[in-house]
This record gives sequence, C-alpha cells and structure tokens, in this order.
Amino acid sequence: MRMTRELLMKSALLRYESNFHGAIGMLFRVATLTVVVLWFVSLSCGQISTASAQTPAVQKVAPPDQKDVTPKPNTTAKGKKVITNEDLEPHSAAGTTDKIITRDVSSLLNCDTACEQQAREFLGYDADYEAEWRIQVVRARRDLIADSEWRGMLSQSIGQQRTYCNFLTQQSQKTAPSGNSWDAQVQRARNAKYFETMGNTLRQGLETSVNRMNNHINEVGELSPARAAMMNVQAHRIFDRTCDQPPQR
Amino acid sequence: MEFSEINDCDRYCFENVRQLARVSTSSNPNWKRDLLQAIDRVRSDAEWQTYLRELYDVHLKFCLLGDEKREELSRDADPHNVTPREIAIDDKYDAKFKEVQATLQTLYYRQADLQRRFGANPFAFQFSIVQTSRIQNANCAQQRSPRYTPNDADDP
Repeated sequence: MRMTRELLMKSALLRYESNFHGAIGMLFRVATLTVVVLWFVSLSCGQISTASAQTPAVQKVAPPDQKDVTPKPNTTAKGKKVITNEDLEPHSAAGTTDKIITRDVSSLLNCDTACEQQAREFLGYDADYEAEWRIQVVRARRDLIADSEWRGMLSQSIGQQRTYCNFLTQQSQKTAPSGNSWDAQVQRARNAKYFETMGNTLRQGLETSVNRMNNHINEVGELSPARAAMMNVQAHRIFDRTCDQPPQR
Repeated sequence: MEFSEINDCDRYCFENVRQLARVSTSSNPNWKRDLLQAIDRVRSDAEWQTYLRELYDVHLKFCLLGDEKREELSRDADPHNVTPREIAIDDKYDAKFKEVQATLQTLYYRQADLQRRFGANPFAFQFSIVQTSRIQNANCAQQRSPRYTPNDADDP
C-alpha cells in the first residue's frame, strides 16, 4: 500500500523525455522499497545464520520497449538473513568474541563487473539493448566513484553489520547465573534489559541508515537509472550478507 | 530522440528543471521568466551546443555498433549453440565498444568544465544536465528512426 502511494506521488516527477526511463524509475522505487522491507523482515528474525551469502533479490524488468513495464519479483526462496547496525556503542559485554564478518569488505565498496551485470539485468538491458547499456554504464561508473557520500553510507552500513553480528553473538553466548537467588535473578534481569535496549538502539540506527541510502538511491535514479541500479545492487550485497560463525574458543 | 529536440522544454521539463534547481514557487514568483531566460542562455551558448552535438554523435556510434553486432550475430551465430565464431564476434565488438566508451569518457570530462559557466544560475545548470540526460537516456531505436514530418523534402 505504501509502495503504491509513493509510486503515485512520485510518478509526476518521473515523466522524463523517455517513457522507458520513467517506467524504470518507478520500478526502481519498488525495488528499493522491497529491499527495506526485506531488511526489516530479516531484522525481526534476529538470528545468526551461517549460510553463505545469497544472491540479491533483484527484480527483473520487461524489455525497455514495452510500455507497461511491470516489476517481476524474484521468487527464489531466500533463507534468513542478518542485518547489521552501526557502531553506536563499543562492545560492552565482557568475554564475547568480536571476530565476526572478517571477510574482505573492500569489494563491497566497488561495483565490479558482476555488480554491473546485475544492475543491467535489473534494468532489463538485454542483448538487444547492449549499446544503450554501454552508454549508461560509462557515466554511472564515473559518478559512482565520485560519490563520496554514497561510499560513506556503504562503509557505515558495513560497520553496522559487523556491530550487529557481534551483538547477536553476545546474545547467543550470554551466560547468566542460574538459580533462584536474588543476585542471580537481578543479573538475569540486567542481561535481558541490556539486550533489549541494545537491540532497539542498533535497529534504530539501521533504520536511519537504510532510509538515508534509500533516499539517496531515489534521488540518483531521477537522472541516472543505471547508477541507481548499481547502488541498489551494492546495498543488496551488503545487507544480504550473513554473519559468519564465531570462531571456537 | 532527434538532436533538433535537444533544446526543447515543455511544461513537464519546465517543472522538472525547477524542481531539480530546488527553487520554490513561493520564494520566487517570477521563476517562470527566470527559467525561460536561463533556457535561452543555454540554447544560445555555441560551445555548449557543439558539445551536445558531439555527445549525440558518440551516442549514435554506440547505436551503430549495437546494430552491426546484432546483424553479424544473426548472420553468423547458431541460435542453438555458442560457437567460436560467436565468441569472436563478442570479443570484436567488446573492443569496439570499449574504444567508444573511452571517447565518451573523455567527453564527460569536458562536460564538467563547460557546465561550470552555468554554475551561477541553477536553472541554466539544471537544464544543461537535463539535456545531457536526454541524450544519455535516449533509446537507440528512437535515434535510428527519425520522426516523420509533413514538410520533409525527402518524403515521396
């Protein structure tokens, strides 16, 4: 419902010289909003998954020459994902490991060939539209590299992911005194309060971050659908990652 | 899109430029006239117009390469199997596309310098961006098939 309203509100702004790109702009909004929804579904799961990274749930669009372009959701089944949060607080629980997500993250800051290919598929530039895509990608690459604000957002979200995974690990490894003594009960209550508060804080930080990224992608999409699609893939790549299993102690 | 349309700005474009320039209608009641002047300024800038023409021509080269590749593939490729010949065609056109992409990249570097002259006027600056976006976002099919006009001298 919210998506439909936003589409209607923004459709007036989208009428560009080409109907094709206007339609793509609308599709793009649907996709980015879908990402947000998925992120929060994942958040609500709040579990550590040890599965390997999954393919981003990009939506394929109809060929550009079709007037009524309708987004076609990817129906591939997706497992649980874990979404991270920003470094709002240092790790405050003692005795926990913070060695989660140690994979090289520099690749997430760039849109490599595979990322470009996903963006191309997202926008529906098939073999018949290779020339159009080749044109689009030149400018998109250059602008993406120059967009320091976006790179900052990516770095921040990667940091958030690390923090959130650490938090989930803390939560899964929490040790509280057992028994019915007064001290044990107080300690258990304190622990529960800590995890609840910290979880809420991290999720709020994430929500802010997601909104900022989403807004930025939408702004860019007005003039450069290709760049916006590449950004969308980058965001998917970050938020589709899962927490690595913590090392054995 | 035909190049002759590059300086057009209908009501939608008008509103779009205003929004991109972040000029509110209440803060500047005279915005329409200001915008009109800004568009005229962009239209009369010979160097900018030459740049747009060059940009358009490079885009046509992309379209031409796309056509050539499609034709060659339809002639030589086997729809049921990927063949060495098909891969060779891919490689050949990949190199050609990269060459034109480098030319386009060079043009974009020039664009920033040229657009600086419109920097003081948000309307002019944003209209110039809209113009380049028109070229960039144009569909090759539209560029290849010029629109019919009743006064066309070549019309039989």
